[in-house]
Amino acid sequence: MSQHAHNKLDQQTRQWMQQTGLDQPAGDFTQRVMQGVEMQKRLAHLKDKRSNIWNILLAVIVPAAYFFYRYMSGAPLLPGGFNLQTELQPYINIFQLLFSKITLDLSAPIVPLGILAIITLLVFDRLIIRSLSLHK
Amino acid sequence: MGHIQDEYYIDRVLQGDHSSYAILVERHKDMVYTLASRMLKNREEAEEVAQDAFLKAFRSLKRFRKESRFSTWLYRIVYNLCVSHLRKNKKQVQSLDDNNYHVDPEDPHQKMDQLEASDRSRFIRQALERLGYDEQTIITLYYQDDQSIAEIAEVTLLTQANVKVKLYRARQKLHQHLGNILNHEINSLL
Repeated sequence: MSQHAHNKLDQQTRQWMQQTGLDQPAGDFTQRVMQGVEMQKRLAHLKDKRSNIWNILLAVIVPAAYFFYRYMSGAPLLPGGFNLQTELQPYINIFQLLFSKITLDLSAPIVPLGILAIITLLVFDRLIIRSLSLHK
Repeated sequence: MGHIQDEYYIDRVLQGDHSSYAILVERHKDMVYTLASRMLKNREEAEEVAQDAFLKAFRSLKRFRKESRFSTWLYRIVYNLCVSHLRKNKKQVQSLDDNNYHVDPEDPHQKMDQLEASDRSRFIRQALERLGYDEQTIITLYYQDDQSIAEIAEVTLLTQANVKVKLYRARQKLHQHLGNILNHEINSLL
C-alpha cells in the first residue's frame, strides 16, 4: 500500500472513530465507585483499629507469659536475681492451681493444644472485627 | 488554565481528600467503560470491570509513580482486568478474517459519506465488534484518546513495533469489515 493510501486510510479511520464517540456507563456510575471508595476507607480504618487492639493485647500477654514461664521454671522473675516469688506467692498460688488443673484435665499433646490456641485467637480476632463493625 | 491536571487531584486524594477521586472518575469513566465494553462485549460485565478498575486504581494510587499519564496507568489496569475476566470466563474473542484482508479505501468511504451520522456510527461499532480485543483496544486508544504508540505499548505490554503492526492491521480490517457490512446492508435493501 502506498504512503498516500496509508495516510488516507489513517485519516478516514480517525474521522470515523471520532464520530462514533465513546460508550457511557449508567448515570450513577461515579456514585457507585465512590461508595466502593468509602467502603475501602472504612475497611482500612477497621484494619488499623484491629491491629491496635492486638498490639495492646500483646503488650500485656507477652510480659505476663514471660514472667509466668520464669516462675514455672523456678528461675528468678527478673534477670537481676530479684525474686518476687515470696512476695507474690498468694497470687501466684491461684494461677499455679489453675494451671495444674488445666494440665491435669487436658493432659493432651502440645500440637492439638496449639491448634486450639490458634482457633481461639482467630475466633477472638473475628469477634474484635465484629464488635468494631457494629460500633461504626 | 481551565483544565486542571489529573496529578493535582491525585495529590489531593493522597493527602486524604478522597472526594477528589470523584473528579478523576468522572473524567475517565467514559473511556474506561468504552475499553471494557469493547473488550468484553457485554454492558453489565463492562460496568462491573470498569468499577473494579477504579477501585483498584484507588487502592494502588500510592504506587502510581507519575512516570506516565494517569490515564495510561488506569487503562493498563482496565486492560489487565478485562483480559483476566475473559480468561476466567474462557471467552476467546478472536478477530474475524484474520488473514486475507484487502482494502480498497475508496469503497467504504464513499458509501459512508452518504449515510446519516447515526447509521455511520452504528456500522462502525459493528465493524469494531469484529476485531479482536487487542486490536479494538489499540485502535480505540490511538484514535479516540490520542494515546501514543509508546503509551499503548505500556497499556498492552506489547512492543512498540508490535503495536504499530497491530494498529496497521486493525485499521485495514476495520475498513474491510465496514465494506462488508455496507455491502450487506445495500444488498438487503435491494
